[in-house]
Amino acid sequence: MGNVLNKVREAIEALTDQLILLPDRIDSITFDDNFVVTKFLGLIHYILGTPLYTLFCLFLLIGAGFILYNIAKKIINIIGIIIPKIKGMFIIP
Amino acid sequence: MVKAVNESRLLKIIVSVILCLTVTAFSIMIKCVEVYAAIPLALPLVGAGLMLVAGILVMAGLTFESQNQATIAANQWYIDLKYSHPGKWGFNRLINEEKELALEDFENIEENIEEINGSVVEVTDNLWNYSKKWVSHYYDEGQNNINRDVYTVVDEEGNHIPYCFNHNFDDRVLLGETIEWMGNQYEWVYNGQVSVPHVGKMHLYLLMENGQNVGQVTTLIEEKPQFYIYATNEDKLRLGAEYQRTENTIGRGITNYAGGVLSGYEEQIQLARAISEEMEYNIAATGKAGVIDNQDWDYETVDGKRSVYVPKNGTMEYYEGLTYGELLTITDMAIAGEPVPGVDEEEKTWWEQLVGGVSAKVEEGAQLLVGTLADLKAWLEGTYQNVIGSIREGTATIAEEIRAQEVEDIDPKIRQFGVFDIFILFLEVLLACIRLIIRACVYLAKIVTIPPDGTLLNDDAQSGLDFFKNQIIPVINISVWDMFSGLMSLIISLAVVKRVRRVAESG
Repeated sequence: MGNVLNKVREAIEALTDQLILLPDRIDSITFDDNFVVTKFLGLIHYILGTPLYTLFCLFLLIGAGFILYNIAKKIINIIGIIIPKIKGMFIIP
Repeated sequence: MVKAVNESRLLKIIVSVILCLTVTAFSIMIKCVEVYAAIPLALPLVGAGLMLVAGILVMAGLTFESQNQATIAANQWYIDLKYSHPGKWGFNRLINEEKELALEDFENIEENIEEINGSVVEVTDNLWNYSKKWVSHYYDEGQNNINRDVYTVVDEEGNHIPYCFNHNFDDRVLLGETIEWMGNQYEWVYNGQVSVPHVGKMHLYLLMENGQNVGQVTTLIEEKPQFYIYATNEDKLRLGAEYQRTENTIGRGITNYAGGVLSGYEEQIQLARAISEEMEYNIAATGKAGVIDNQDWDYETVDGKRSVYVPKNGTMEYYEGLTYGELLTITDMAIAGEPVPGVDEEEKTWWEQLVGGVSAKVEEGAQLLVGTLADLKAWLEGTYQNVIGSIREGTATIAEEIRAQEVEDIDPKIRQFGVFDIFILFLEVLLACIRLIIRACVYLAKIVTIPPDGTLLNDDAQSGLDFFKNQIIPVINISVWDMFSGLMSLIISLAVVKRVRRVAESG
């Protein structure tokens, strides 16, 4: 039984250690030229050509904008429900 | 009415998705076209054998700017070795005696290629001498740009038939004194000297087809004619022969033999012709001063031998820009058992480290869990098998152990962390996530500025893509690619405008 508890304790310690390191790991994520997504987008640019790639990016940005808009709208609605007084401070169309 | 509007919107979304997928599907289709276009350029030397030759050429003083150049040069080296004649008479005379021994050595190494892959390969004297002379013959110090235009078609059995597009003296590849052509064995046999009116004594060579005499040539120089294969204007392969008539003149052509033109490879030849106009297909390289054309140049690795390192699971990319000095250092490191940089230990990117770290922790956690369950099972089994008295005794012992463990192990942790620390910890994680999202948004805004980058494709695929993009429709004088690009731009623009309008109207 002692061993069992020891194992559980070790597991919690490992989890805590990982949790402590997690912010640094997240901060170490950078979007530089060697980022795999950059290389993939560069490949798409190479294959599609500049006009099509620009439109592709435009389509992507508009889509991302809609998503962010909806998320922001929902978050403010949730905040408005939680704190009724804040309702009316932000006018979201 | 509302239902009809919803269905219309759904239909539009589906059409937009299909349009986007069309772009993706078309890109994949282009990739297939690239691969197909690369077929005529299929080369006989691949894998570790190819890398070994590239390594030897680097040691002989060549530095290749691209993996494509290294691949073509190594294959040219092999074709010249295998088919006994590089298309240059002087060079053939120079190395004729050594090349057979070199070929034998190379084939011995290639047979054991699996064993040598990932290790250091000793270069025999014959192989080195041939390579040194080959390099010295074709390359000079400094930048070289040599176009040989050698292609191969692949027959039904997978054999490569090397050929050239024309019989220009600089382009054609001579394939030796004997050849198998369309199922027949052809050979040149010396038949002594004959007297020719107004000329005098000449050397007579007989063309033998399966042992039967089907033709002859006379020359002033005692040297056997050589066969070569070329593509005719009708894109069929044809057998030719070339011989040194006098010191300064070369004779061409044979007509009295059974085998004619070889059909069935028109498509491969046409594609190769198209590609040859679009891409740089040469054996260019930079020759190191003091090494190229230096007949005495040789090297020695730390073990006192002449060896070369063949990278484990490597690609021809490894030889891009690699100098003989660097390769010698790498070979010495490999002999000493040290990890070779760029091959044995590659620097990991952050996502590889992250994935690696997470997977290691998952594995560790799984092992922990399995160990815990095993302990629990053993404990239960032990408990079940013991009598009640033993249980009481065991329980007391376990209780003591638990108490001891708790006091000993958990106390420092309790003192070290509190509930507030955990809150701060989660807050830090949350802030890190927010920072990540902000960075991602900034990155998203900048993706338009990412330059075109084809490095994920190999050279053949890039060449195939460039070839495809440059295909012009004759009548309207617009490239297929421009037409497709314009059409898709128009459709996507309309889709974007419609989407924005719909959102604006619904808002």
